[in-house]
Order: sequence, then C-alpha cells, then structure tokens
Amino acid sequence: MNSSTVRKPVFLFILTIILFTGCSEKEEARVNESLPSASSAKEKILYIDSYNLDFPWVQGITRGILDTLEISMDSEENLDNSRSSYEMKIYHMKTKRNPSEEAIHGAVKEVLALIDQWNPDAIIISDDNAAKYLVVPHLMDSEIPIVFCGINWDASVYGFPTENITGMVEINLIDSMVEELKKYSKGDRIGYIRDNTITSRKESENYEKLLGTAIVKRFPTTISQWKEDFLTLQEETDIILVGYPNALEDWDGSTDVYQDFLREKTEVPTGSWDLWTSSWVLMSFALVAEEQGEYAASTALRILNGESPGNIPVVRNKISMVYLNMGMAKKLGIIFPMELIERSHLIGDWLDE
Amino acid sequence: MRKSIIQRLLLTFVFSLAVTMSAILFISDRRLRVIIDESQNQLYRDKLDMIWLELMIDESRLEITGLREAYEKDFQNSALKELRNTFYRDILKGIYPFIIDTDQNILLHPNLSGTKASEELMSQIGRVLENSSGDFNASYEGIEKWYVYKRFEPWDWVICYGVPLREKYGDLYSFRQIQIAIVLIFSCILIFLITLLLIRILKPVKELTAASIAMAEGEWSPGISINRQDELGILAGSFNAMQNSIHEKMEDLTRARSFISDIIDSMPSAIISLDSLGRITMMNETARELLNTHGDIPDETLLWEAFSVFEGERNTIIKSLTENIIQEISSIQFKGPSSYYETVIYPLENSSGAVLRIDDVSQKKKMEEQMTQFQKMDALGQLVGGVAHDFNNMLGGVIAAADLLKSGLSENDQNRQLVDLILDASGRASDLVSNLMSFSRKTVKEFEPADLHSIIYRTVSILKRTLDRKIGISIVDEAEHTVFSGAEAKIENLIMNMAINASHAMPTGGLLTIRTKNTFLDEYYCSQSPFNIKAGRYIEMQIRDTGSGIDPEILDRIFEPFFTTKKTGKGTGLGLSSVFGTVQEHNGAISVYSEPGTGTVFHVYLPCEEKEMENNSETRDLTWSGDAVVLLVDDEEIIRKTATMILNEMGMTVLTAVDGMDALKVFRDNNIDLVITDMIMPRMGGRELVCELRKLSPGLKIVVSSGFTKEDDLEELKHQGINSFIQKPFTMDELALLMKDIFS
Repeated sequence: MNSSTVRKPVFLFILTIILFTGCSEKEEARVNESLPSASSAKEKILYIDSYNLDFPWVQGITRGILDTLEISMDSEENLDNSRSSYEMKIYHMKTKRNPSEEAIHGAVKEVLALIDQWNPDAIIISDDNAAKYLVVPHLMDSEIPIVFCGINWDASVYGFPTENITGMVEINLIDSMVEELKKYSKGDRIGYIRDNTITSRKESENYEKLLGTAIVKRFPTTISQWKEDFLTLQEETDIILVGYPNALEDWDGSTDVYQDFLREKTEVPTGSWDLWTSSWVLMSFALVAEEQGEYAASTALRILNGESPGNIPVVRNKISMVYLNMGMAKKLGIIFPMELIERSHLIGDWLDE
Repeated sequence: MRKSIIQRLLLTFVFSLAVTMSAILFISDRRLRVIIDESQNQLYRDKLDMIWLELMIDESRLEITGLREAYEKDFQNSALKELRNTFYRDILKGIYPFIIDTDQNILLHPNLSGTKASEELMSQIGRVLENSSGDFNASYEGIEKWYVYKRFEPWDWVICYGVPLREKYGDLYSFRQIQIAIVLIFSCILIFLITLLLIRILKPVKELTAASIAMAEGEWSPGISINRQDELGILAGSFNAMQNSIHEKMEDLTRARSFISDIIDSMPSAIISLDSLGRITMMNETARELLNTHGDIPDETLLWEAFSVFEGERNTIIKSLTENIIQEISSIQFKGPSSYYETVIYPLENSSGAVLRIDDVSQKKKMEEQMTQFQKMDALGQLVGGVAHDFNNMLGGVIAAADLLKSGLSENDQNRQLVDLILDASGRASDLVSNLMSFSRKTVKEFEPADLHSIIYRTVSILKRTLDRKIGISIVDEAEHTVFSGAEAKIENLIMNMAINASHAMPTGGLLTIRTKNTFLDEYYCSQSPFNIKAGRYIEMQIRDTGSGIDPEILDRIFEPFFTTKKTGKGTGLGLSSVFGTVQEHNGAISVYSEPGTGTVFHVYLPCEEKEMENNSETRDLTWSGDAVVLLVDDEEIIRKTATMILNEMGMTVLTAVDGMDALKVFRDNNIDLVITDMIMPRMGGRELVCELRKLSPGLKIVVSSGFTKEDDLEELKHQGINSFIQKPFTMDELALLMKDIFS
C-alpha cells in the first residue's frame, strides 16, 4: 500500500470532521436565535437596594452579593455574568436621594413591573425602605423567595421572617466596643450623640437595650449645637458614642468640621460604629457591609438549591472592623495592648502634622 | 584474538554512547545547577522579601502609633510571634528562616531564640552582618548549607535562610538519578536494539566472511542466500557470481592441469623439468618409469644427485642452463646397451630452468638398422643377381654343351657317366643360381592371379610327406580373399623354405601352423615399413612354429644371403633370403616375431588382386565408428601409436598404458569401455592384467592382442572371460571388424 492510498482516507476523515463541526455550529446558532440565550436559562436573582450606589454601605453590600454570585460590574454598573451560573439585575430605589412618598411609590411600581416582566427566581432586598415600601405592602405573599439584609436591629417589625422571607439584620457591635473603651475610661457613664433623626433615636434606644444601661443622649440639629452637646456630654459621661451626623441642618458635607473639633476637644474615650467617623474618635467598631451582601447572596443560593426560606432563621452580623486612632490615643495618653493593636486598623498619629 | 566487526561497531557505539550520555549528563547537570541556583535564589529572595515586607508593615504600623519607644518592643515581639506562627508551625526539610540582630542576638530560631550566637555560628555566618543582602555556602554542624540573607535596616535585623545543599539541589539529585536511570535504560535498550540491528545487518557480512574464509581454505560453498535489495544483497550476489566464476575457473584450471598432466604423463617422452640450478621440479610418469622411481623426490634435489645416470652429463646440463642453449645428448644408457635414448635439454625463457625430454629411439634405431640391412641386402642382391645371371648364362652354355656332348655319346660310352656328372652338377648349380636370382629378383615376372589357399594346401601336401612326422601341420584358412597376383611356384618355394626352416627349429617335433586372413595395411603402417608397399588390402599368411625361436641378436640377419646357423654343408643360407626376395618381388612385406624357447612366427603380406577384390568388395562392410573409451595397453610404442590413430579415426577416445600396472592405474582413474591389451609386457603382463580387471569390473570388455600367442593360451584367456583376440600387427579393417563384433 503506497502512501497516497493512506493519505486519501485520512484526508476525507478530516474533511468530514470539519464539515460536521461547521454544520453543528450553524445549528447551534440557529437555536440561539430561535430560543432565549443561554444566559436567560440561568436562574435569575433580582437585587433591590433601598438607596443608591453612591453610599459606601450600599457599595459594600453590592460587592458582597456580586462576589458571592461571581458576577462582575464595571464602572458604568453594567453586569457581566459570563462566569456565573446566575443572571442578576439590580434596582436602586434611591429612597434617600428621593425620599418623597411619590418618588418612593414610583420606584415601587417600577420594581413590581420589573418583577412581573422579568419573573426572577429569588429577590434580595437591602435596608429598611425596601422592606417597608415594597415587600410589606406587595410581596409578603409572593411565591418568589425573598432574602433581606441591612435591616436595622429587628426584622420582626416588618413581619419577617415568613415561610418565604428570611435574612440578616444589621446590629452594630456596640457592646464589644464599650467593653474595650471602659478599659481606658474613668467611669461607666455612657453618652450618645448624633443628628436628630428617627434613626438616631431608634439607634440610641437599641444601644440602651443592648448595653442594658441608660445612655445620656444628645440629638443636635445644627453643627454648633452638636459641638456644644459634645462638650456637655464630656462633662456628664465617661464614654461617648459618636454617631455620623449627616443630617445636621447646616452641614455642608465636609467632615473636617467634626474631625478638627473632636481632635482638639476630646478628653474622654470616644467610640463609633461607622468607618467614616473613625478618624474623629478613639476607636471604631465598624460594621462590614460585605458581610450583609455575602450572607444575603449565599442564602438566596441555598433557597434556589431547594432549601426552604422558612427553615433558615434570621441571623445578625458578627464581623466588625476595629479602627484605633493612635493620634487620639496619644492625645489621651492611652497605650493599647498589642492584642488589640494586632487585630486593628491603625489610624496614623496626626498630632505631629 | 580476532575481533568481529559486530564487536568493533558495538564497542564504538557503546563508547560513543557513553561519551555522549556523559556529556549530556554533565551539561544538563551544569545547566540544571545554574537553573536551580537561579530559581532557589529567586525563591528564597522572595521568601526573604516576604518576611522583610511583614516586618516593614509592622514597622509602618509602629510608625503610625507615634509612640515608637512605647510600642517598638511589642511590635518586634509581635512580628517575631507572627513569623514563628507562620514559618515554624511546620518546618519542612530543616529549612526555616532565622533572624539575628547586629548584636549577634538570635531573635528568631527554632531552638536558639533569645540566645547569643555562638562563635562557631558567627565564624560561619558572620558575614551576613557585613552586607545588606547576599548568599554564600558554609558548613554548620557538619551540614553543608547555602545561606541567603537580607538585612532589615529599621530594626538592624538580618533575616537568613540556611538551606542544606542536599535540599537545595534535591531536585537536581533526584533528577540526576532519574536521568541516569533513564539514560542507562535507554542505553541498554538502544544497545540491545543496535546489537539486534547490527546482527541483522552484518549477518550477511558474517556469511560472506565465512564463505570467503572457506573459499580461501579451498572449500567450496554452495552460495550465499541473502535476499536483500540493499548493498549487502548486491555484494552477496556479486560474491556468489565471483565464487561461481572462481569455481569455474578453478575447475577449468584443474581440468587444464589434469589435462596437461595427463598429456605430459601420457607422452611417450620422459619429461623432467629443472630449475635454474638443476634441481628437479617435475617429472612425468614416463620419466619416473624410465628412471624407475615412483615416490616423491625431495625438494631441491639436484638431477644428477637423484639419478646418477645423469652424472656424466652434468656439465652439459649446467651449460645448457647457464648459457640458455639447447643441448642434445645421446650417450646416456638408461636400459642397457640394446636400448637407445635421445635426451634433449630445452632451456626455459628468462633462465628459469630447463626441460629435459628423453625419447626411446631404440625402435627408430632398429628401423634404421633394418633399413641399412635392407639396403645392404638390396645391394647384395644386385651383385648376386648380376653374378648369377652371368653364371646362369655360362651354366646354360655348360649344360647345353654337356647335353650336346651327351647326345653324341652311346649308351655304353664310359664318358657318358662323366657327362651326366657334369649335367647333374650343372643342374644343381642351376637351382642354386635360380635361388640366387630369386633373391635378386632377377627372375622373369610372369605374374598372374593365383589362389593362395590352393598353393598352401598343395605345398602342405608335399610338406607332410617330406617333413618329420613329429611335426604337425595345421592350416587355418580364415582369409576370404585369397587371390593375389604372382607366381605360384615362387610362393610354393617361399612356403617350402619357411616350413623347412621351421622344421629345423623343431628337431624334436612341434606344430607348424599356417594361418591366412585378410588385412588392411594403412598408410602409416606402410610408411613405417622397410618394404615398398602401398596401403591396401592384403592377404596375411602367418607361418608359426613352436620351435626354439631365434636369438634376438641374429634376428636382424636371417634374411641375409648365405647367413645360416647350420653347420657347413647343411644349408646354403639362401632360403630366407630367397623368401625375402620373393616377397619383395610380389610387392609384399614380411616380418618376423620370435621368442626364444617359444617359437617363431613369420607374417607374409601379399597384396590382394584388386579385380577380384572389386568383385567381392560389396560382400563385407569394413567401416565402423563409435564413441567408446578404449584403454590400449602395449609396451610397443609403434603399436600404441598406430592403434591409437586407427581407433581415433573411428571416433573412439583412446587412453594408453605401457604395461599392466600402468593400465590398472589409468583404469581406476577413468571410465573405460574396452581394454585392448598385449600379452607379454614388463612388470605386469596381459594375463595378470585380465585377472585384475575382471576383479575390478566383471562386465568389462577385454580384447587380447598379441603377435605370438599359443592356442592353449588363447583358450585359457577365453575361459577367463576375454571377449576377443586380435593378432598383431593389426590393421584398420581388423580393428573395425573387432569393434563391430565387440560393440554390436
């Protein structure tokens, strides 16, 4: 048998494979054209945010959800789920930016229309407004499972959990922080200062419940009142819990006014639960927004995998991020133990600047 | 010890393989070592950088506190604790980082933390304090290690790694072992495969070599069977062709040598070759026979030392060898005074020696002597004839005168008795003259066709009355053509003379046999005969007696006039001379063969009358041809030559032998169809030869040839199984008839 007689069948075999492959690809393309895309066959998750993506907290929750679902998002908020087994859409209700009843109801209507149209397999909501304006009035009896996160302190106020609703509540780890601050304070009296909002008042009440002791509270409405209330609290208490005063009437959005004041006037250990106030106070036990998002997404996946939401209890957050303001510590003459330092972020000595 | 090509190629291949593999191993080892050095260097510098970075983070955090004095020690301890948790949890292969400060305090070490570095340790690794980073090899606690280090400036710490070289190059060592194993396995497989390949490739070469050796040792192999299309196949084919060609050439050469040897050995001449110094290099069978030597002659034996008969001609031989000239010697007596030999020395070209050719010229000499005798007798005849003629004329006058005188005398006249005495004496003188005239052929030729058988029977009837009764007379008239042209009276006288001579040879009785037969005398025979005869058909008449025979010394003289062995007055000595003259007168020939003590036979040949022959020529076909191989055994060269020519003419292949022993040798070496042997020969005669041949080949055709054989002997030989008998000398017709009888 000569070589040409061997090459001929091999050539025909290769040609057949090429033609078959080409036909298969054309067939597959026709299927794609006639049927919904492969991505549409993926299970769909709708994430409804009460606010908008400008807030770092929202960004953290969103990041936690996207990372868990292996979905990426570019700077223009376009989602890429090519690596993920799920398809996702995000809707921001922007209730902080547009707090009017009309705007909120408009957002709710859009969400409901989206749900009808897109028919998601699971819904994640974050923060209280989504629960309050969307779920409670419209989706309590929905067959679509709902996972919430970022709901402050107590979800039961919305009737959660139900057979089809579960999630994680957001509770500041204020008790741990107060225990640490007490190591450097002269006494056990605790003060609380934040802008005059329902959230602040409700928050302070929750702290009292959590700590099991009375707290001296101040809810100023202006910056000067805030400064005056702080100085008063220093006189009246041994530890001051400083909330982020973003609702003061005359606040222009710059934190320098609070930072400069507190760095200069602080004389007692101060603490905060917001990352944004960590450079003003001695220490901060900040919540980790990603924890909320990661839990909500992973719980949604558990439900999509067949677990009943009613069998998944509501949980509270457990992770905190400790920030130690070494400049404030130096000013107050406090030396932290290495155990604390080793697990904390240090905020630089600003005293020499 | 001879090494085969396979061994040589394998040794070369193994050596090349070993060198190549060693080079590969060495180069790869060096290259891998460089790669490992680079990779290990990078790896441990990364590790050092990682530790350095950890420390730098701690340093940064320490800086952040703004209270270096308060926190530095805690940060350093925290850093060390972290490093310890990170790197000392599972120390693998004895490789771990350790930190030493510029005060030689060991800060981080699995066993020595918090201690001061020993002098031994510092003597080995003290150089780490000299530079910001680097590496070196050193031995610590008997372990060769590679140290790589980097200084952390903020705290004046030096971070070190001590890597045992066996670990650093562990992969290299493992790889090297695997590599060596692979190389060894690969080499073994390769050598095995190459060996198989070489054996397969060189098997034909081995066969060729074996065949070449066999061929060189003179053995003939049937050929090499290598069915390949490559050069070896072509080589094998060429070898086979070459071998066949050489074999054919060798066979041709052997045949040629055998042929030449047979020619030389069968030559009637004795041939001796000498080298330039006179040493014998070769002798043919005739020479060995002549010189009576049959064994091997030692090398470098001089001719005259080996055979003293040449001693007298030593100088002549040397002269011929040195001066390169042909020399003839006739004085060497090889076999007594009655034999004559002629020796000729032929120098070879380029003074490389010479060849001696020795011929027995006894027969030639005898013929010459016969010719001389014949000429003498012819001259004598002329003389006697002339005298007899004149004397006869005168005697005629005497008789006539006496008759006249007698007629004038009365019956009673006393002178009448005297006249009768004259007439009686004249008559006897006239008979004497008549015989003399017969010898001299001076009688008047009045030839007419005559029948020999009639003459013989008529003469024998007279002889039976005149010869002694003790002598038996037998006639064997085998001749079919008995008419010749001649004078009946002369032939009667011829028979009478010969019969009377025979009776004289048998004084106590015997058998006189007269046999006739027809024979053909060929040209050669006629040319060799002293008589003036022509080739043709003859009537042969043999007159044989069983008498005392004739002494060989006088055999040549018996036909001379007045030669007689009888006492004076008992014979005239003209009987056989008259026979001689009568034979000549009838254009015939006569020969005699005699053995003292046995008898004598005369062969008289008379030419047949042609007319009568023509009338009867159709009655017998005397031609015959065949292709048999005939061995002719006779000590007479003339017989061998004539018979060989006649038999060759018939298409026969003729081999010759000079006696019985020679014949047996030739018979054993050849495939012989017919043996024609003489009876009386030297060394081994015909009788013994027939016995030996019958033992060797009971079915062999044997013919006895003899010039003189008794009837009893013939009967005995026929009883021994000879197929036929032929009388010597035989003619072509006789031989043709014999062959026809034998092979038909």
